[in-house]
Amino acid sequence: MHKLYQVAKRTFHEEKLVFFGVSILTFYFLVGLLAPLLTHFGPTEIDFEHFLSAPDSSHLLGTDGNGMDILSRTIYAIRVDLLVSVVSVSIAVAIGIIIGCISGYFGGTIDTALMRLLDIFQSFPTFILALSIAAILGPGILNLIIVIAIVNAPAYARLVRSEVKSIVIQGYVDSARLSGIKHVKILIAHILPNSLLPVRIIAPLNCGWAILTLAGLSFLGLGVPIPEAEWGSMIGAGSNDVVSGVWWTSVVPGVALVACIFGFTILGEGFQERQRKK
Amino acid sequence: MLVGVVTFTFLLVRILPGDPVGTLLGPNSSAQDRIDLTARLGLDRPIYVQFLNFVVDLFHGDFGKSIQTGRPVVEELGAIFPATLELIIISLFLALIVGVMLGLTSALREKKLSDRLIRLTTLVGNSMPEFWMGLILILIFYGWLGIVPAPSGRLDTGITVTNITGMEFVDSILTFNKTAFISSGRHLFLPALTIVFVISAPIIRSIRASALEVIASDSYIAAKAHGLGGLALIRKYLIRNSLISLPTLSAIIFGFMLGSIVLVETVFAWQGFGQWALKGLSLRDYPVIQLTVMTVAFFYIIAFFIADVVHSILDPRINI
Repeated sequence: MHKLYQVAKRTFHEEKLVFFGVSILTFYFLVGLLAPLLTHFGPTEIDFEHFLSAPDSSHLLGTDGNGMDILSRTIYAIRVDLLVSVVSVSIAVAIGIIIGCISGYFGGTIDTALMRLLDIFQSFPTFILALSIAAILGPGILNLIIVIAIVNAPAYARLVRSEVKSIVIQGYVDSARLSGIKHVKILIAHILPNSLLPVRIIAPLNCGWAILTLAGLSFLGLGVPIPEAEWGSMIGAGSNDVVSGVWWTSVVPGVALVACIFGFTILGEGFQERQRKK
Repeated sequence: MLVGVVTFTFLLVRILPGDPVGTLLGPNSSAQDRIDLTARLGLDRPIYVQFLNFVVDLFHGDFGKSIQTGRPVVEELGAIFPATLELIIISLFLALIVGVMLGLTSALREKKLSDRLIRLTTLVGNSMPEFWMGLILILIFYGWLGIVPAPSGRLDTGITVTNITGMEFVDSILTFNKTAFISSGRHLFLPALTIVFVISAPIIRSIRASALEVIASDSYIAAKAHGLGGLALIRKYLIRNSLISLPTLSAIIFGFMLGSIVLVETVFAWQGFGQWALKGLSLRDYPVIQLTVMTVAFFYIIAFFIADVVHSILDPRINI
């Protein structure tokens, strides 16, 4: 515990961005984890006496048009949004590493073929690609994870590939190869550990974008289906209320959404800064 | 490149579950009706025959007819695309001005209060979903203050403008139509503000980073040491060298906006390209989806071409 405090103190002084980023995300993680203890209502529980009621003592942040408690839904949504973003980015990283390693290590025809394939994927703006794949797969959390993983994987593949390419030509890789070690083992033991630095910097930023994509798709009705609590679909459901001045249905989930992405953004920014200082 | 995109899209739309015939006829249609319509649309033929027909038509400049409306998709695109292009280009133009000014200010006052404030705004802008930003602006400017028109469409009802370019705001200037100019300007204000806020962030970041590099460079220090100061220093040394990364960045942002404009359009009921494409996608309107992807890919290429040209003007060392 004391050691943790020391690390936190040093980070606070030397790397404020990383410190605040980690703090925000830890806060979200804990609130999401403890959601049942922090809320009086379930995320899809309907209060038949309060439809679209303004914040008061029974519903601290009001209810939506279906009589569901905004605060509870916003808190429960943390689970969905964090889960989808972290899992999908992890899958994207894994796919990217596999493709990048194969492409960068073996080179030649395999490399060219894989890169042309990525070209096609990357010639679509990411959101259009996400929209199309989401339309193919249909709504649902698992499908969203797949969509966001597919959309983000090509960038990691390229990143890993270029790193691997610069490592493959090093002497120690040649000597490993000459001493008869298998390709897979060379990749895992000698090349991979040295090629992951840029991935570590980009991944947190990417988790923020993943939530943006998720919320955007849900906002358009192609993401997490209602009544499941998710920030984007909550904003979508509340979007018609703003013209009549009803703010709580869309402002509350939106603030939670922006603050969460902000946490990922400054964490990524902090990592980049650390890299520049080196 | 374009060939790969076209082929990929063609195959992609055909593996979409759900078919256009089903969405057109509705759930109560008879099996015979479905078979007839499928045959009439040519969708009963093998995929490779459909693909060959599609490619041959493409070379004749025929992009097909919308399955839903029966009108040629090019005609539909021509009616709605200018409005979207206008929104994106005006926003990009404003964002470039704002971004360059704030980015330079931030770099020149590094680590001072204004720099910190600008950087914080940039980080918030990076984290801001455009659709939520739009809703907040509607809430403030329409819901509470009531100083802008309701977020529905591009002109107030009853106001028309002679169609020259299809871009209402530009047309109203070209025809000196004052009422239409004010009306479309008021409708344009919030969506443009939304986009400007979101896309200024990467521009400010990029300008700030390259300006800091210039400030630390030998030539800049030498110029400053020779007593060059004030505007001449900023204009001749700082701005010109800081702008080099801007054309490519603008092209990337343009492509990004074209892809996600549907979010802003949905919030403001803009009735443009994004909403048209989304409708085509959800109704499985194959020709609409194909033309959408081709349009996006085409404008992507054009944007990068323009960026390359501007880049070579800014930086004479580059040849294209």
